Amino acid sequence: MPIDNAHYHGWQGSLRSPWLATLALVRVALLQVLRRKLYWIVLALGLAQFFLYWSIIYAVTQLDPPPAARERMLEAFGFSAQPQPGRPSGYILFMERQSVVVMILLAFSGSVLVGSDFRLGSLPFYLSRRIDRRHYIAGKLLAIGAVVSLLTTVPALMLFIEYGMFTSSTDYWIDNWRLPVEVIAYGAVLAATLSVLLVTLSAYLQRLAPIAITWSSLFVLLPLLRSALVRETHNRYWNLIDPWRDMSLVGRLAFGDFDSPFERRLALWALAILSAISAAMLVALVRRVRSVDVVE
Amino acid sequence: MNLLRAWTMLFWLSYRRLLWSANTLMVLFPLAGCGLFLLRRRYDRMHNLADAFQSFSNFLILVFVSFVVPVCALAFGTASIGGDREDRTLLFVLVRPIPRPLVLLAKFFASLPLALGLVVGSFLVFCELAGKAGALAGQLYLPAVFYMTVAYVGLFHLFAVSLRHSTIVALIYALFMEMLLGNMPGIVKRVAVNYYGRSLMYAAGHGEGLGTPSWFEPISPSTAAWVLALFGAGGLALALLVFQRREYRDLT
Amino acid sequence: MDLVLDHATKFYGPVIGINNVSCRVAPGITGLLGANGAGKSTLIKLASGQLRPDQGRVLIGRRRAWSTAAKRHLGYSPDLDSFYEDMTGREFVYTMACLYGYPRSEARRRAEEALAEVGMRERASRRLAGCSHGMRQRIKLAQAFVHDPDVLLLDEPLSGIDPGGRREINELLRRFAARGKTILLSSHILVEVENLADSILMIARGRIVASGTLAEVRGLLEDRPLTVEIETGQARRLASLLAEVSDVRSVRIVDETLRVETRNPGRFFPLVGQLVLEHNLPLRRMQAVDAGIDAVFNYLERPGR
Repeated sequence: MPIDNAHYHGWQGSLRSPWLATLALVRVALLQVLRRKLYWIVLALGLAQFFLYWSIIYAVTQLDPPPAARERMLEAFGFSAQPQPGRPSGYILFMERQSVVVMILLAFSGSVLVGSDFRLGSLPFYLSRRIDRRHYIAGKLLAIGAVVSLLTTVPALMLFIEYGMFTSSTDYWIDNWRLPVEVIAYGAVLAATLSVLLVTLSAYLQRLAPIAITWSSLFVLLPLLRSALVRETHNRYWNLIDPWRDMSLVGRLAFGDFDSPFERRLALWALAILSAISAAMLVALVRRVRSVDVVE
Repeated sequence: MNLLRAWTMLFWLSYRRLLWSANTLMVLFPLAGCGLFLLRRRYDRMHNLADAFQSFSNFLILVFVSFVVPVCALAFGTASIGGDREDRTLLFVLVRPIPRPLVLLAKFFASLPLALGLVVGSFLVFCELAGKAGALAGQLYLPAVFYMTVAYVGLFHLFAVSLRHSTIVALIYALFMEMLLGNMPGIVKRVAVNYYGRSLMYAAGHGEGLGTPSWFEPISPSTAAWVLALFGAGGLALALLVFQRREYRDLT
Repeated sequence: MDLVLDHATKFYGPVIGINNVSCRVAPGITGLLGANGAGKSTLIKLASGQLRPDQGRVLIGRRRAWSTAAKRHLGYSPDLDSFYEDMTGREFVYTMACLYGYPRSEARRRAEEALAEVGMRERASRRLAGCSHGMRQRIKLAQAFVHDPDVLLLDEPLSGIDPGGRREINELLRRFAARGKTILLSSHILVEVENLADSILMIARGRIVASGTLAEVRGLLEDRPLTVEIETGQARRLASLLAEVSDVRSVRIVDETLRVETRNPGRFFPLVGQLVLEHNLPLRRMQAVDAGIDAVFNYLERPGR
């Protein structure tokens, strides 16, 4: 049959940039994760803490005590709505406390969003289009970044908005504009670092169990070892082996402040370590993403 | 045709696939991390044996049994069936004339020595690295480590046959629920494997000066050992029951 | 040994997989035909003991297909393309033979025989991850009959195999059937099964809509009305000739193409050939427009056809 009879016609209009295809990748990736019940269970675990703080902020602001007393009441629950000189704010602490849920959710997402592309051979479906590996990688990184932000940055910002809404004026938001900027900066560091690490590990390990083991070793074991080493050796450089701590320090490097020059030095080291690891991971990822896997 | 021979082949097949899996390789990383930690801490060079024992015990309780033991059990416990489910190769086993319970038992007995070997082996190596304090801890805590590993492997087999994403559920259970529930006041902590393991360890280390946190409220060592054994055996028994009933489509 | 489905019904939640199916598959080659989603795979999965019927029974000989005892007599080649990818084809078939309990030497001998039967003996040392789709299909077949089963269930066994390979496998299955074995072979391609099967089971929407020998099923199909498109340089002349034929229900001319509806395709096609030759008419193309298997099944399951 002549090809015309089959109604195959080239697209007559002009094609948009393939970089826009990364948005389609993000959309599909989020749908892939969101349609799974387990994701909602883990998300519910993650949001339990959010609702807890939401309720605490609501209760404390409705009691309407003097500002200092209000802050003390919040601190009793391990939260602080005001900037803390030399220390992370309550919003940053909230994001740090999400770490275990973020870690579990990402282990799952890595296998579903990236590992399965390699394991089940679906990579050619992406790379046979007008997009190449750069667009594929960018799409996957953005998708993982979105998953991270949904559990950390977005709820932290919502808590900030909530606190301001329940006070009698907009002064809280105006006076503390640096707090959401810190949250966004820390969130950006979390999203960027975690997405690069996860996409690369998932591209190589592919299956859920090894991804989960490696991921939990990085994000649960290393903080445990860090805490023991710092406590027992009194050497604060050991903080650098904890990726959560590194990301927190780098987030503060941009907009937060430090209680000592040593902390700032530590943050610069953390920046160097995260940059080196992320760069190495990106190189490894680019080498791994190929449409045809040659088996000996 | 001989059922025992078929079962033995299935056992070896499962054992080999677990041994030469990415899980085994990846689980070596946390073990190496712990080894490097101990090499840096040098408990063997501490002059006061009581202090060294206390610190090493804290490492074992907070890091080894809270993280390494569940992760090693997960690497082999959920993967024994979970790996086949993920790869969709379970079908090739289920259409052979081996009764379903025996299939699961072959998987269990293939994963148990690997998990036990890795956990107990690394535990003994870590004790060796910790010198005299380690030797003492090795004698005192070995039963707790053994029972905990068996309990986790049995429990994770139940997860593996019951749930599609058993690895993630096991991870949530071991690193989230156990840490959350095991450290709660009251009797709610009694649902956590970790609680019984720590009860055994605190009781064993008590004579050597290991202090029990005031909020912990440990259970008696014999009860803890029985409950851990029950977790392992009960988990396996329930897994056998579930696996016997499940259709293949529920196992993919 | 027979494969028997006795009022077997299987639900997937609210969706029905197969509905009150009763049939007996006797020794020989039986083709199980159906469109995608018709219930072929459900039937094969019930027969291979992967699923349990919600109602009725599925028996291999006298044993329920779900039981371990039935699986001794069963060989199964699934339609899924998953393997222990790090094994070689030889290791895989050998391992599967060992799972029947054979001693190692016997398992090795059987594996080699099975590999030779499917034409993979020389290529079986390659890792399965690196094998082509056709090679993987052959390995799947080899593992299915490595223990010389009485009942062989083959789910889409010829997909991905080249024509030469198909001939070899057809020969192999015929040899197997000649030894009194029961083979149930599923496909959605009529021609694929036509050349091979002694009898046919046609399934549509979870029900058996036709069964019997190939001749019996073909008889049912011959009475089926069919629309045929004919391209000829003299459309009007051929139309006037066909209008006088009793088996023709209607004739239309659309863009110089004849669109003919016939009551009896079995008699219609030879008749057209005869008319074309007798009247020296040019014939560029003749094509049945609703001859797809879906149309066949729709016809067969229509009440009061």
